[in-house]
Amino acid sequence: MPLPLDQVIASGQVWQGRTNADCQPEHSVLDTGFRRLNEALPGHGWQSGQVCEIYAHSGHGEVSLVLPALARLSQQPRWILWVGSPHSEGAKLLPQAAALQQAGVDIRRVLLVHPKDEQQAMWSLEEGLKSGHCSAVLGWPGQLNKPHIRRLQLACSRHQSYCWLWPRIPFDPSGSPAAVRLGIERRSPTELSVECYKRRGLWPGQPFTLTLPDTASGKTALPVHSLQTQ
Amino acid sequence: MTARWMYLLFPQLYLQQVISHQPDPEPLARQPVALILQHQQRHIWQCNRAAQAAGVEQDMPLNTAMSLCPALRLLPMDMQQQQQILHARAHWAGQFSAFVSPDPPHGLWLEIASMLRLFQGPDALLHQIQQAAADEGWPLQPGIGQTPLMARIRAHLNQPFVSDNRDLPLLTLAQLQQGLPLTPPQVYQLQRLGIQRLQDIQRLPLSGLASRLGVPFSQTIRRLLGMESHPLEAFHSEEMFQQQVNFIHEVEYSNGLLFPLQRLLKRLSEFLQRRQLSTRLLELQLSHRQQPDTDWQIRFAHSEHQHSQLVFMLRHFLENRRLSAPVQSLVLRVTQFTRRSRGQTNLLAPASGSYAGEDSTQETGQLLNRLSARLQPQQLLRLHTEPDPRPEQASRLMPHQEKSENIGTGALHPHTGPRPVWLLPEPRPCPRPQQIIAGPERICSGWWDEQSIRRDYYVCQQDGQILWLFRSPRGWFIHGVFA
Amino acid sequence: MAVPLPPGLVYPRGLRLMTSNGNEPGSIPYAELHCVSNFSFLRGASHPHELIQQAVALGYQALAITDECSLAGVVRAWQALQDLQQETENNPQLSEQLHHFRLIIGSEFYCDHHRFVVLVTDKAAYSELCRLISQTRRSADKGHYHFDRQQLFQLQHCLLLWQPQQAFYHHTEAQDFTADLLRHFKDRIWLLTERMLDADDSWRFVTASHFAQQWQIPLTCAGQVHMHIAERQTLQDCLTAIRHNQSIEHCRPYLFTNNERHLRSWHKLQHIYPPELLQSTVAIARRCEFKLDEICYQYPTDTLPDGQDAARYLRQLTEAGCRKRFPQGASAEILATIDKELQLIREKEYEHYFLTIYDIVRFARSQQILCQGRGSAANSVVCYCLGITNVNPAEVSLLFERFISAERREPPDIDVDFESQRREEVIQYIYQKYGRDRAALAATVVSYRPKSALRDVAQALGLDLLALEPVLANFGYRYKKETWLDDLVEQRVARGEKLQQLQYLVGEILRFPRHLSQHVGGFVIARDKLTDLVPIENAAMAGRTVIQWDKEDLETLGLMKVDILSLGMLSAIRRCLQQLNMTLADIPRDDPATYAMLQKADSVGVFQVESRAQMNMLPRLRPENYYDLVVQVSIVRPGPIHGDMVHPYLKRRNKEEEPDYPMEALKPILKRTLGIPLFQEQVIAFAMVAADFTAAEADLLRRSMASWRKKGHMQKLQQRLQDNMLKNGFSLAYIQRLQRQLLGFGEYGFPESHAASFALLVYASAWLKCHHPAVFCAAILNSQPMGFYSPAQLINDARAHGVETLPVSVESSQWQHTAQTGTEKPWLRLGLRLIHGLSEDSAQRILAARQQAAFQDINDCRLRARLSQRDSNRLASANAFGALSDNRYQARWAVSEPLQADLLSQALTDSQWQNDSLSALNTPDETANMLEDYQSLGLTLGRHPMAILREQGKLGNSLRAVDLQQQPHNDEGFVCGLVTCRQRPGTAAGVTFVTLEDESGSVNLVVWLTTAEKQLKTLTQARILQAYGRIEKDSASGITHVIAYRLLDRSQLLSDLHPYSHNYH
Repeated sequence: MPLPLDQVIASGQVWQGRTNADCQPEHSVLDTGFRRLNEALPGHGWQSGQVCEIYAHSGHGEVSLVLPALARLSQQPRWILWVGSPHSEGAKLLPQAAALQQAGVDIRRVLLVHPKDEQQAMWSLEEGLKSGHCSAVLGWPGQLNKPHIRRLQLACSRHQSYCWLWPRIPFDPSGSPAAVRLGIERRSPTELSVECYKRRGLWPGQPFTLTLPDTASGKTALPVHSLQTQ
Repeated sequence: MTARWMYLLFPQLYLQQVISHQPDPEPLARQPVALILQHQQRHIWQCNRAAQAAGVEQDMPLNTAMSLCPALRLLPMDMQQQQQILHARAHWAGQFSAFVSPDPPHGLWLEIASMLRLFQGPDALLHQIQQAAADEGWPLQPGIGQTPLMARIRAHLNQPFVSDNRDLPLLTLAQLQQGLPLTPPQVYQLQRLGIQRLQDIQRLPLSGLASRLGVPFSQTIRRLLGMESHPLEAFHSEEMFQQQVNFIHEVEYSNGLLFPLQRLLKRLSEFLQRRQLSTRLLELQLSHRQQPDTDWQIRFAHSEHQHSQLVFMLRHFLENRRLSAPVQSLVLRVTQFTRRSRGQTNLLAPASGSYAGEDSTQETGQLLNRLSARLQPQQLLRLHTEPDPRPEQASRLMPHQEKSENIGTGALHPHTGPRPVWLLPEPRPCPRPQQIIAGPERICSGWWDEQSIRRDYYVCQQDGQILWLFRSPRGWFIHGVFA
Repeated sequence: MAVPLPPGLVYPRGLRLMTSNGNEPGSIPYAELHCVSNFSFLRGASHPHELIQQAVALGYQALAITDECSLAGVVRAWQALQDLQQETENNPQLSEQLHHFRLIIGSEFYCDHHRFVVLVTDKAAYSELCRLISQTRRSADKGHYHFDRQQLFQLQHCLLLWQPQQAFYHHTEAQDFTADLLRHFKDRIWLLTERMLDADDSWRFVTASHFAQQWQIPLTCAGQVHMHIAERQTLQDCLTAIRHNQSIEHCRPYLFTNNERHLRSWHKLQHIYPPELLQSTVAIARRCEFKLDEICYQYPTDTLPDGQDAARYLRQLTEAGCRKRFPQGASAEILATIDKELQLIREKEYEHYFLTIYDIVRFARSQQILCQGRGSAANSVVCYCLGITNVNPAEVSLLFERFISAERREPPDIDVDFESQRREEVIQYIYQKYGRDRAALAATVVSYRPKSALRDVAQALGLDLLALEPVLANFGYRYKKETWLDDLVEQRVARGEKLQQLQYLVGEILRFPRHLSQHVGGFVIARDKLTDLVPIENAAMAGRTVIQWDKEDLETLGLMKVDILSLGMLSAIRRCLQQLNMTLADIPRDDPATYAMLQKADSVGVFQVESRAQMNMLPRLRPENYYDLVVQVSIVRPGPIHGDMVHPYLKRRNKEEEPDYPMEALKPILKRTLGIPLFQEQVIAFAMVAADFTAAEADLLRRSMASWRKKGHMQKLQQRLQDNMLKNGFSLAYIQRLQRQLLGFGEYGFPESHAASFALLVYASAWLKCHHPAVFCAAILNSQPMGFYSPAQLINDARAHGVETLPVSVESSQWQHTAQTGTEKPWLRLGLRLIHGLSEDSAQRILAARQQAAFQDINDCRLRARLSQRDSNRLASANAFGALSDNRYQARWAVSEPLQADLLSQALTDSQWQNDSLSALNTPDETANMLEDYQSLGLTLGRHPMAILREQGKLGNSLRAVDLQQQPHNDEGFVCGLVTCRQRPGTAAGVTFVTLEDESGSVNLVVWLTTAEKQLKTLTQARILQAYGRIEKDSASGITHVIAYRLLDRSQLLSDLHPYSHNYH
């Protein structure tokens, strides 16, 4: 005799369009540090076990977006694996320990990998997630293919880890298995405009703006009138 | 006189050993060298012959020694190392006697009564020991006597073997002071009582001596003359794991070694498990028919004991190694161990992946090992901060292998301005910025290590990007990006 | 036209000279209000004079020297300003502008959230600041201060620049503290902003501006200056490292991130601060009118009986003294001098100065403390009459101008020597009479010397200190030539860039002040509160307080200082006179026997003339009267020796050459020294007459002679001296000799009046030695440590003069050495104090027990005198039990048995069993006894060790000291003896004088530099030395030397013998 509908819903096997609050409850949610962003993301924050792609030119506040989350994650006794980095006119940019420390990240937890090619980069990302010893994995992949992302997603969900990717290739509208895909553009030194291309469990929303803390953009050093030292 | 004890005195044990380990020992041995103690820097502790020729003596004030011999080189004395050297000599002396007792700082007692028949008499044994020491290049002053203290005196007086002891009562106070453990106040008191030779002491009532010079003094005299036994503490060396495998037909390719090695690693893992130890260094010794043995050292980032991990490491290690010649036999040796704290496995750990507790670094170590097995050392990096005013020195990337203790957060300089997330490896020249948001932060320092900088840092906006530029006498440069 | 920078300012080599881009002084509208000199120890990186010169060069209106809770550097800054004005005399327009440049006095204070800069507007404000600094310094121990915000509210006149740190703005009680400050200070407070262009620089600037607007506090700016030019940053970082006692690497968090804390050019200031802030600094500077010379010093008037007029009271005392000094009436000339002096004293109002000194000397005499004034004071007849000095004007030409001169503002400077043992009583008397806040010791500035500089800088640069040891040990060592820094540091210490940094920094840090310490005895006494004139802080010694200025500062400002110094010989002479119940005046003058003794160089123990060099001079100078002694005391000194005035004087003294005078006008000055300038006064008089120097210039010459290295004005003065004297027809050679003499006088300048005071003591001690050798020897021994010779040598010398010496004994010795004279054979009984390590109260217990009843045996003595085990052992080994035991070994064995006072042991110790073990001990032979004597007493009364060794044939054919007289000149042979003295006077070119003592006397060994360097170890380490050399006899003086060719170390003949040797000082 078929089960009554409400019993089936109670057991959570039916996905309902509007109730996005309680999917996969056992996955932990991390406050992003920005109120507007929390509202926009499913589960009010970054979801563990999900890959998130962020599309932006370097220098548009794309890393400051995740710094508050990284600061909290660095309290866990696990690594934050940082694979590769963006390029600026051919030169590989290096993370500056002082900036991370100023943002509250415990840099003893950060482990950096300089892959010599894309294939090694992907292996490192996977190795980090599969080992279960990384609280978060960050990558700047030069090329993305769906099976890779799916494998990252799976490894990520098994060990309650977070994964952020900043692809160095333009946004591919044909879709990707990643759970969340965001686009970032800087309006002013402290204003960012964020667009959710995809977020699992919700329709893609309108672009919204959020303000960065001053330190993220070097704002505190106020201008000194017409200063030209000799 | 039945020779029952031998005393081996290694004059200037530490100095001679330290000099011989230097890259070019010859010139240093001829140069005047002196040792001074860490905590007591104002006096010479020991000096070599070249220094003594220039007039430097033990316990001489440093200034006087320096003025007498300006070319004197000073080396700090390390007591720990001295003890290790003495233990190594005790280890070496183990081949001549079953019972060896170290007498710090530079002597050894050997019980030889039981060995006489094996070595056909004290002379032959003496000769053999002197020969062995000469081969090693160690200066040695042996001494044989009925009691340990008598042997010690003979050694210090450089009279290795004297058949009868008729000369003993005539030993002067100075000679006794060399051989026996006498304290300066005891010697001073003896001098004030007009005692010049051992016979003077023997004539006095021992009870009177004990009340005036202390019981230890009379005990020393009785032990010297054999009226009382002299208990000595035996020396025993530490543990070591060593297994050998001989191949019926030689092995040409390194992978061929993998199968036999797996069995050895199994035994090693059991050995480590029983003693709650783990290790970071495996030594492989491959012997070939003509060529000399090849020695491989497999070093891990983290100490390891589980069989599966050891095999994983070994496989990766062997993958990119070539055999120089067919291998006849293989020895696996492990000497360095680290004690493993008995981390209780947390039964209640959440199902998926264990939150490795802070203390059980072994678990997080596995990822490091796996990554470092595949990647080159300079590809796996850690972040490090220092309280230096200059940005390049304040934030540094250090290869993980350079596991220096202070990797991590040396606090930043208190007056550090806002720093961008990304830095360019090298500052890149750029045109004069149009729109300055903030600055200047003037940094002018670093003269002490020849990398002095003189820069005014500004935060500028250029088509959406927030950049970190600086102006120096040589013009404008871009150094970082606020991401 | 840019101000020419004075020669004294030396720029480190290879650095961009900070051009002063053409501003005249005071041309730019800016005043630097916050600047620390290097008297904020290990923080400021520039001398006060450098800061002043640079501020003037940059065209500032004013510069405030605001060291941390200290005014230690302000006088030097003020002096630098005076020197600058003096140098620009020839350019009236410039010197007038310089006159506008203002030195502002101030101080900075730190506490948790604040930095305060206090500036002085007028005299009242200055006294306020001095009191505040004294209060904060004296409530903390040396080198620290305890400052609390509430103390600010004591300041009624000073201006306050207030810089709250960031944390203050959102502090809870910020509101009411700000309100209190504004209510109290009203228009005397500014909010201070300082742009250092470091990280949160502009944020601080913005918040400060808002705060100022919110509370309507006027805003001003300053540079927090630590260095006069930016290039001093390397030194400032090095000082920071030294302050934290770490290498620069390790103390990077404390380093300034840039070098903005220097005196900035107008061009830079304009870009950093808005115009109205710069203008505010000038407004503030204009309100600070106080000048240091406004300090008017009044002498204490306590010693004046009330109602008396100072001048009349002084004349009264002088006349009374004159009657006492000249019982048969003073000569007319002396009376005239007295009147002249009193007239000058009246004119300069120095009466109270003399009365204060008189009071101190009167107190000392009332307590039978022997004392004697010396120094420039000895030139005054009034001082002689008041009993302050004992130099009879009739015998010595007194230049009163040298003491007080009409034009000079120079205050008188009197040094008074007191007995070393009782000087503390005089000091406590002064503190008690005038009170802690009216009397304090002057400071001495301890600055970096080469060795300390090298060690501190090397540590700061993180160099290997072990490698530095050889450099330090050999620096300036007697056998190495005294070269300066460049070839001092070999490659081993540092290489390349590090070596250059080391040399540059050590060169820079030399003569930087390190800390304030206490002058030996320089007292400053004020009429009312001293703390109104200068801040006072605690000295390191408990119970002592120190002012923040040193001797030179006091001289610059004309404050009164009196030196209370200590002299061992005075104690010895007082002990002799007490035993002979005589007074210093009872000693007959010009006793021929005494002079005969001195002419034979038999001067062991005599004041000032007992050193080897003096002994060599005595037979050549052959003093016959008091004035010869004055010359003898001052002739063996670098001044006369460098100016090679000694030989010409001796030739004229021995009538081999007729005295001639280079100029007729110099005759009266040089008459006493036969035409040769020997004393400092003579050289000054010479400059005034021969080189047409004015009195002021001559005084500048005298002052710069004393400290010529410091300011380096000497070159300019010497040039003018040379030109003028050439003009007056002096030969260049003669002028150069005079200039070398000036250099020689540098720090050891010996004024005639000084030598005259000392000569009195020389004669007194010589007379006592000649007529009462036993009492004299006992007195010297009881005043140890003093003088040149060890107790052993003093006793040997006494025995050579027929004094019978009796050994130390518990039955007849006192604690002190005792002597008996008058009997046919004078004897000297050695006191218990000679036994090494015996405490005085044990000795007193022995004496007390002995008084009750004589000692039967050793144990009786031990029990009744309650002797400790250690004291009994020492007495036994020193053979002090004498008759109570057979020999010292048995005594030692008996006493080293732990003493049980109960009855049972009493019986045991007397038993037969005890005695037979005694027979087992050896009996000491002569050598053993001699060695035990040296071990416990440092000397022996038995035969001399050399006599014993010679008898045993161990000395080969070595000649005895007495045999040398018979040996022909230039003969060669062996000599051997105990090494008792090694000396290498700076003046002798590398020669070492060694004295070898044997049973017959002493051998003077001369070792040339080459011989010394080849046999360094033997020369420096040997205790018994045998030498083979050539005998050289100087017929004129009758002295015999042995020029050593080969040295042999014979110490192992008596390996346990360690006689005392007086080495290298």
